[in-house]
Amino acid sequence: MRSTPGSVYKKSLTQLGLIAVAAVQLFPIVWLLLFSLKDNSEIFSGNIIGLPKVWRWENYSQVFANGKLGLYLFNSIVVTFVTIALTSIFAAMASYAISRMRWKLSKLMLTIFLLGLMIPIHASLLPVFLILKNLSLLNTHLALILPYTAFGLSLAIFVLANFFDTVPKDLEESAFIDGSGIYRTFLKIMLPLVQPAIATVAIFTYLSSWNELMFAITFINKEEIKTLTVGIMSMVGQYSTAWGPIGAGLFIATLPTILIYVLLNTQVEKSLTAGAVKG
Amino acid sequence: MKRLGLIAAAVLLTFTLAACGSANKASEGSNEAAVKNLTIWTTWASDGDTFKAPIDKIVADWNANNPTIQLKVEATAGESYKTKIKTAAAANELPDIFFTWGAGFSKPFAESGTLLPLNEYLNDGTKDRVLAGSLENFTYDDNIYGLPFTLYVGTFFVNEELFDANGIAVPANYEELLTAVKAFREKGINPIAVGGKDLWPSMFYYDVLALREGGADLNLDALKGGTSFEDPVFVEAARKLQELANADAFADGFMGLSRDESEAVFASGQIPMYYNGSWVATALESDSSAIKGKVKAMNFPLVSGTTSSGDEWLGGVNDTFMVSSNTPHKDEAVQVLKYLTENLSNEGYQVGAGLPTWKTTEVDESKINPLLADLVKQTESATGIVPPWDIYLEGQDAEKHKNLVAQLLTNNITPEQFAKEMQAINE
Amino acid sequence: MRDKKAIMIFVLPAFIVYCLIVLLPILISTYYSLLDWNGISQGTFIGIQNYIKLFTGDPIFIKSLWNSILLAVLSVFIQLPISLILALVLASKVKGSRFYRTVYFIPVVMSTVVIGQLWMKIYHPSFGLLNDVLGSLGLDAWKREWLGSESTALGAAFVPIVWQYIGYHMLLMFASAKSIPDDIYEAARIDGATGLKSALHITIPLIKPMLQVSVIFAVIGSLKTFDFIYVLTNGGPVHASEVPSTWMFNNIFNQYLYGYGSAMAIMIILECLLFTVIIQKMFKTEQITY
Repeated sequence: MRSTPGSVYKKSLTQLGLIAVAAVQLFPIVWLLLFSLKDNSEIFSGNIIGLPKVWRWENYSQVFANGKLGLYLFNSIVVTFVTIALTSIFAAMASYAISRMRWKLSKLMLTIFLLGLMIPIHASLLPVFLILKNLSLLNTHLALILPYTAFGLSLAIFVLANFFDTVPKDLEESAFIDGSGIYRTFLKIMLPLVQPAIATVAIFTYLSSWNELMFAITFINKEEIKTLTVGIMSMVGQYSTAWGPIGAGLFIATLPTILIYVLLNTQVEKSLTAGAVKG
Repeated sequence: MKRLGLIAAAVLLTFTLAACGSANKASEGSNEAAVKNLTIWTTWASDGDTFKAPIDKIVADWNANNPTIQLKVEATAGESYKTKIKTAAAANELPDIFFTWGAGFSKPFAESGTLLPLNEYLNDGTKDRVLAGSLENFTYDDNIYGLPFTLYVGTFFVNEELFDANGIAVPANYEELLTAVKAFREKGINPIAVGGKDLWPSMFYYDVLALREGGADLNLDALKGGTSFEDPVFVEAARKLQELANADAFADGFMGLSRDESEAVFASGQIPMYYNGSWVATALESDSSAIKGKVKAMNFPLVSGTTSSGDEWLGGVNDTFMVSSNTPHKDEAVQVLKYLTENLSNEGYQVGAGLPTWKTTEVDESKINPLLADLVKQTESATGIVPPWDIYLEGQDAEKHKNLVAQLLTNNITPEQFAKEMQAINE
Repeated sequence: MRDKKAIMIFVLPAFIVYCLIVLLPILISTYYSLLDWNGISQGTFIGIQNYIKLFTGDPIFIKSLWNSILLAVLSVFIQLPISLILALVLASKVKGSRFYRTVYFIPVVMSTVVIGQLWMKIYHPSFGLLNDVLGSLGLDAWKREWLGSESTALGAAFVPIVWQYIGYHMLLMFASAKSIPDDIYEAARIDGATGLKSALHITIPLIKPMLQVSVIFAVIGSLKTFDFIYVLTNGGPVHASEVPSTWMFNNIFNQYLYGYGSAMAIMIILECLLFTVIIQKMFKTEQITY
């Protein structure tokens, strides 16, 4: 493609616009970093946006001084990754059946699965607590994994069913003609095709479970099972709270999230281009 | 195949976790025979909580001295602690002993039978060792459910340095308060701090004005449903609060600020006056405080021509520990409760966390937070104490009262309408 | 394919977990909503009294409903178009697309605690960024007590909600736009459709299913929005920025009206269902015109 002066002008204008938006979107993380290096007097009065007057790196050492940080991190990782695995697998299977198989209730099923997005979460706190109690799951990792997975399924199935809908039927049909069974076709043909969608779903599932607070606070009492966000928020005091170290903790907790997003996003990108070549 | 492996791994992991869960349970069960384990819930998870170090020390001491009764503390920070204990109570999952609040907050707990009545355990002289009246907020239907460990009073914090620097006199009565407010405004200084977003901090100002107008006995009577809230004193208190608001007494944008945010500006030395609980004293006198040593703690300015004296305070004993009626070790739990609250009262006062509620308190006076020590002296002659109304009233009524004060402050209702709406609670 | 056994095998794992943790609690909440119950003691069965009170005796609930519908409208007509434009631009072989996509998503990955704190600082009446900027532009008359005044609190609290999820919808739309095979664009280019034209006539119609997903998510998300309102205004001042979820939370946990709050929860679910059906109908009729 040759570029005319007009298109160069247009291109740099687009870039300018994109950079402006990028600045706005980057602001929160930069601000959080600055926030994490201040003390309460700067955070709350006077210098609430600007550079810290004194760079309080000790906020970070204070977070790391909490000997349980590693444990909390481990719990968050276990809970989040099992949740992602379960959600992706269960949702991929269910949405395949809903989208590609012909049965009377498939549309209704999709709507039923959508209900999970509509519940005001605080109203389900007590019912879910009672159910987990009856299953003797309170104070275990599963007390978080199960609810996160169940509530994550709604979004995952809705997005995945939508993607399955767009996959051309002939791919599957030719597989069947080749004598491939339904399970094999699902695993070998369909799953690879919707990989970008699964990666997308994984990102969203990750976000909702990594940052979740209410269930994590209510269903877990034991130190040994507490997650990272709960650990960080436990620095909130009854009458006074030092926000600087909390900022430091939240900054640390945000970094893996961005890293994982970049990784999964690359995955989305790769599979998209791979799919395009095949198509 | 890779994917199949993943599925298998996930399923395996799930079962391992489930197994871990039940394994834990089993081991706990076997311990129980020899050692009685009691769990205590608190809301002090942060090292910044002044009661955290005391309770850690008390529990460690207990565990060292009582090998057969072992305590374990589980802490949940912030507002979510309230959500958590309400949910746990509904599901019958309260721990043996837990931190909670008295009066309106625990009334549904007491009525539902989730709490252990302590009456029969307190005839060993315990009742005489706690401050007179300090069990009142934990008593429902003549049953006592909690023991006190800290007392707080509504305290008027004054930044004397700001007053001196601007040549303004610290107000001793309401008229002087209004004058001081106007004088500070003229100098471009926000006169009074308050976090209106959290509702209760602004309610403190109404409740103390009502106390000043009507006196402790009348206020308590009205809260109990006797005297009408349409009594002129309550209308007048509402009028005064609105007068203050309309004189821009409260910091700019106070209705949108949390207690945290508004308090921090006072603590940074930019606002001269603040009325809130005595617990604020701890942070104001800490080493990192910008106004350490510059603050005076006193009772709210008087209103001339009324019966209320400076010996009447807003405040009370509301923080407490209670015992679940479900605990398998009732005697031990109550024994721990007594030990815990008495020692917390002592230790808490020593480290400046709050005012003591047990008469046994023996502390090294020289090391006490000077603001708290001063408050202890001032309250020694107290003749009446009225709890903040949202504490005294039950959930729905408390919420209504707080919102009515907010409506007063934003000029949505008149003092007369305020009084009428308040009286609707009692009808 | 009508293999019943296969359908069972595919759907059951998800359905069992879902029934246990999502559907069962909805049933339990429905039961609670028929009780006069403080959440701890024994409740009393009162039929649909709570629902009657919702619509005849609770102006705050009605107001909160309208507030949330306003948010839904703002999300669909402000948030989604911005997401769509960004997604289309980034999908059109622009330089640095991957970098922008990462950066634009950052607000989504940050916890609401952080974003809430940030906006509290932006709106702070005395030291806030917004009033500072207005001041330095000489627009002192425009300064407001953003979260503290009844006239601005609702709008001010909505801005971060609308803003935070721009990147979220952008990602959904981008993934969908990217999965359109290149040859379709090629064919269109030969026909002379490039840039805006190709976006309007090819990309948008083709990603319509995903747009429907976005609209449904945005509307449902708005109708049960909670976090930011809770952090920024707590529904105040004087309920000016109350939304159904915050009012429900207040009733259940502050006022001990568990039965009544549960009725609100059920109403929120029904409202979301209603809107979802309407949106699906709208997208269906539109599809016929194409």
